[in-house]
This record gives sequence, structure tokens and C-alpha cells, in this order.
Amino acid sequence: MNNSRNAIDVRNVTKVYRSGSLEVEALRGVTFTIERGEYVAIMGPSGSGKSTLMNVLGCLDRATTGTYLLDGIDVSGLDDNALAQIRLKKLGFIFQGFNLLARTDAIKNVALPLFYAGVPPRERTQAAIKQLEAVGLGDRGKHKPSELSGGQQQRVAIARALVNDPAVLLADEPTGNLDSKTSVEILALFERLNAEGRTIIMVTHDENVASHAKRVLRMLDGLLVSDGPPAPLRHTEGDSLIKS
Amino acid sequence: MTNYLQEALGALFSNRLRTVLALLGLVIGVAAVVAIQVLGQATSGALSGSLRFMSQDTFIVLPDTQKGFDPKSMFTLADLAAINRMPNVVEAIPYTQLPVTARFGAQTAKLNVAPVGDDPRFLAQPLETGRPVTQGDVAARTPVCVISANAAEKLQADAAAIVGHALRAGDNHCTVVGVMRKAPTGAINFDFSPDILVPYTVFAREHMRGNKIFEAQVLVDDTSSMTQTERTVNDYLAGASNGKFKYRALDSHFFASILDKLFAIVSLVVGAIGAISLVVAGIGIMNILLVSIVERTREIGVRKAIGARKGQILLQFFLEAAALAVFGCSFGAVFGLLAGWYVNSHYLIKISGVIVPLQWEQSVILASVFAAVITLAFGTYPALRAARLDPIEALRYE
Ligand SMILES: Nc1ncnc2c1ncn2[C@@H]1O[C@H](COP(=O)(O)OP(=O)(O)O)[C@@H](O)[C@H]1O
Ligand SMILES: [Mg+2]
Repeated sequence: MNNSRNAIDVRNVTKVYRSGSLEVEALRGVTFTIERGEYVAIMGPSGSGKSTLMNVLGCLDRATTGTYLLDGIDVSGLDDNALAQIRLKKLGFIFQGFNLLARTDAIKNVALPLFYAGVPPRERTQAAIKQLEAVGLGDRGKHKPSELSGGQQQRVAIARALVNDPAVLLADEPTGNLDSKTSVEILALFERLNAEGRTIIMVTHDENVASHAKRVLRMLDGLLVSDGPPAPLRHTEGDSLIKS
Repeated sequence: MTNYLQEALGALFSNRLRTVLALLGLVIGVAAVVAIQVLGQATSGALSGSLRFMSQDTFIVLPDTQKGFDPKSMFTLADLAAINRMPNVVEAIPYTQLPVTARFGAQTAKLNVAPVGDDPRFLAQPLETGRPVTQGDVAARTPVCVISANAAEKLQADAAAIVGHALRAGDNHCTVVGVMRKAPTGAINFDFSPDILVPYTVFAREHMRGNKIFEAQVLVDDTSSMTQTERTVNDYLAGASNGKFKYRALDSHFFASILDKLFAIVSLVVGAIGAISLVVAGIGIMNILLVSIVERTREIGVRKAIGARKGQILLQFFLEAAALAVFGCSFGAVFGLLAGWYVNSHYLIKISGVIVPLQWEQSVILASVFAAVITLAFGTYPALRAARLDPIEALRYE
């Protein structure tokens, strides 16, 4: 932790994929900062580099060139284990497909990051129950993912992302697998978390989902092409948030 | 550590059928090896116990029949008398037995009659009652006999009551002077030992037409120089045939060495079966782990995205391999011990009459070594594969 107000500081980041003689420039020099407490949506057409950027931001992949400071820490040159440690301590992931462990109940799923952090079982369970209560699933702790609805599963995933008190929440199409009513619930939960001071970065291709964020980064061909407030809503939320 | 173990066990329990199938090979392999090991020990113990039918103090001399048997190579009572006079020889007697129909009172039984000397060391069992055959009996060719407990039983005679009474053995009579103690039930030495022992001079007169002897049993004084005595006896007999025939001696060391060779072969076979079952079972376990890793690619991706380090994923899958190996080997060892114990106590004991205690400690060590080797040899690669998965690709895996 440092005094900088930036949760994310990305400078001239490029990412080049090489497969044989073929080179794909997925990111061609991206520079931006995200302050603590911001709620940012990343948008852009398919193939524009959103996932690549999210992988770099999520410390799952390294930029080819450029620097990346996460919560004031330069993570550009870190090795696999150090990056794993950063993910463990600084980041919370929310996936489109929830990605919960199927044969494990909600409490154990939420406690998983603490398991890898070496927190003793009793404390883990207590912290997990607290997070499940915070997302409104205090009574579902013993349920397996198959016994939960999509919206409930995503809330378990959000509780899991929050359990290590991360500096940044990263969500990749978090409502992509949900119906419109449930999407509204999840987005409301995001807004509440943001109001409580969480930094949230969310990839979406849906303008109406993006409109919940306070800031939208638009990408095209590996470049950042616009940075500003979301476009105004065209429809009422309930109608437009159709299942993607 | 216990947390990882729980994770590993959870994974195995969640796919019970597959886990059981993977373990089956290991269980059967280890069970077979442990059972054979246990039985090997029991058989070896039983046989060395029953080796007592061959006294440590005697050896047997007979013509070397490697080039075929020539009746002229048989020797005579006169030869035995000569051997008797040799240094270190206590007594030399014919070594043979004949089946006869014995009768005592109204009772008849099929029994064996055999020659015996005056030294009690020739008796397979110590006397229960009465007296042994004496030097006087041998010299005077007195028709007396010492009988086994088995003989008394078959003739339905009480040991104490039969002493002093005449017994009919084939065409001849003998007066029972002693009854031997009962041999351990079912022991091999019981089967080998004759029922009616008569002075060898009497045996020669009644049964050995032409006085021809094929095998002789020689009792020595000092067992440490037995080999030398054997050579002297062989040389004497060879000389008596004017060098036409060769003779050889068999003693308890000779039988022991045959047994040793037998068990060396058995151990080798067991070792080979063990090695093969180890490899086959190991491949089975490796296969199951690899399948499980492919199936759980996404899960591994999630774990890594959440912050699991390589070492932590490695440990988890390594422990899964170890848990499989430990389960399989423990069950295998238990089944093997049970099978070995069953065969030993229900079948082997009938042959040997000797109860050999189960050497379960050795089986535990064997099973532990199996488990460790299988875990290391076949768990390392799958665990490494899981640990090396790229989280991005793993998360994208459908
Ligand atoms: N692992 C990879 N290997 C090679 N090329 C890749 C890989 N991942 C993405 N790309 C390429 O990089 C570009 C950006 O992809 P991506 O970041 O997935 O875009 P988006 O998520 O916006 O659809 C695309 O042209 C894609 O084909
Ligand atoms: Mg994408």
C-alpha cells in the first residue's frame, strides 16, 4: 500500500501474442489510471483486446512492454509465484460463468482464497459466512452450487472475490449468464459495494450494463479510444437488460 | 497440510466409482504379493519344522543313481557291520519301510514296518511308555517292536495296555516293548515316520530276501565331522564294489539347501509379480490422475486465478496420488494378510501341523514401500502437469 490514490496505473502497455511466425498485437500501447473507489466499465467490439487487458490487470498474464502498478506495486517484472501472491492479496475475480467449485458448498467456495493464504479453518469459515451475509446469502452457506440459482451462484462468487479484502474487483461479463432481473440485482450489489469504497473494473459489451458504471473505457484494435462517463440510457433498465 | 489432505480426499470421494476402479489393481496386486509373502514364510517355517523327520545326527547313504539304478550297487548287512566299526559312527541301519497288514486282537490296520537300531536317536518321537529296542535285542534278533502312537490308535489299543503283548505284522509276530509319543497333529514327520519299528537284524531276517540294502541310515557321534564320515562311508562302499559304483550321502543340510533354493526361486517369482503389479497399478493411478486433471482443468484455473501457487496445486494432486496409493496398499495388505492367514490356518496347517505366526510387520513394511514408490513414480508427473497449467487457458477450457 502507498500514498498514491491510484488503484491501477497502466503505462504504454503492449501485449504481443506469438504463435509460430504469426504475431498478434492484442494491446498496442495502453495508458490509463484508475483511482481507488472508481467503478469502471471496459467496452469494445470482439477482438479489441478487452480480455487481454483484463488478464494483464488481473496479473494472470504479463504485458510484453510497459509498466503496470497495482495498488502502488510494480508488478511488471514479477515471477509466477509473486503474481499468484498478488492475485491472492490484491485482486478479486468475478467470472461470467461463476466458476465455483461444483462439489464444494458455498462457505468452502468463499473460503478458498483464505485456504491458499494459510488462514486457519475456523477463521476461514467465519470470514466466509460474514461475506455470504454481506451478499444476502447468509442462509445458503451449506448449499452446493447446483442447489443455487444463477444469481445466487454469482453472489457466492462475489463473496469469494471479496473475502480477501482486495484492492480491485475484476469482473468479466458478470451478468452475461444471467437473466435481466437477476442482472439488475447483481449490478445493484456492485453499486452498493462501490458506494462502500470498492474499486470495480467490469468488462461488458452491453451499454445498459456499462451505464451503471461511473466511467467507461472504450477499446478498438488494441488501443484505448475513449474514456468518459457512460452513454445515457436509451430504454428503461428492466426492458433492455436482456439475457446476453 | 491436513487441509490439503481434506481437499484431496474430497476429490477422491466425489468420484467414488472411478477411485475404486483405480484402486482395484493396486489392491489386488499388493494383496497377491502380501499373501504369497505370508504363505512363503508359513511354508518355509512349516517345512523347516517338519525337517525334523530327518535327524540332525544321521545321514542317509545310497547308490548314486544318476546313470540309472543297477541292483548290483545295493549293499549288504556285512557292509553295514563294517560301517558300524568306523570312527564317529554310532550305528548304521537299513533305511526302508514296508507296508504290512497289522493285527492286534480282533483289530487290523494297514501300517508300515521299518528297521531300527538300539539308539533312541533313531526314534522319530520320544517314548510314551515302555522301553526302546536294546543292543541285546539287535544282537539276539529278538522279535520285539516299538510302535508309534498312530499304530496304537489304529489298532485301538491303549498305549500302556499293549506293552508286553504280541502283535502280528504281515507274516510275523513281534512283542510290543514301547509306544512312542504322539507326533504334532498332521505333521509331515508323522507321515514319514514308520509305525512299527523292529530291530534291524530282525527286519533283515524277516523282510530282506538276499540281504540287499538300497539305503542305509548312519547315526554319528560328532555332527561337526559328519561330512568327513559321509565321505569315508561313500569311499568304503565304492571300494567294496571295486570302484564299479559311486555312492552319495544325504543329510539334513542337504535337504535344507534344497529348501533354500526353492525359496530363493519363490522369492524371485514373488518379487517379479510385485514389480509387475506395482507398474500396472501405478499406471492405473497415473491414468486416473491425468483424467481427473483434464476434467478439472477449469477448477485448477479458478484455483490459480484466486491465488494458488504452483506448489500448492502440486501438493494437492500429489496428496491425491498418495491417498490413492495408501488406500490401495493398506487394503491390499489387509486382504493379503487375511488370505495368507486363511490358507495357512485351513490348509497348510493340515500338511505341516506347525502353526507359523503371521509376519504382519513385514507385510506392513512391504505395503508402505509400495505406496511410497507408486506415489513418487506415478503421482509426480500428473501433479506437475496440474501445477504447470496456464490459468488463462485453464479458465477458457470447456
Ligand atoms: N492466447 C492468444 N494467442 C494468440 N492470439 C490471441 C490470444 N488471445 C487473444 N488473442 C488475439 O488478441 C486479440 C484480442 O483478443 P481479446 O483480448 O480476447 O479480445 P476481446 O476480449 O476484446 O474480444 C484478438 O485478435 C485475439 O485473436
Ligand atoms: Mg474477450
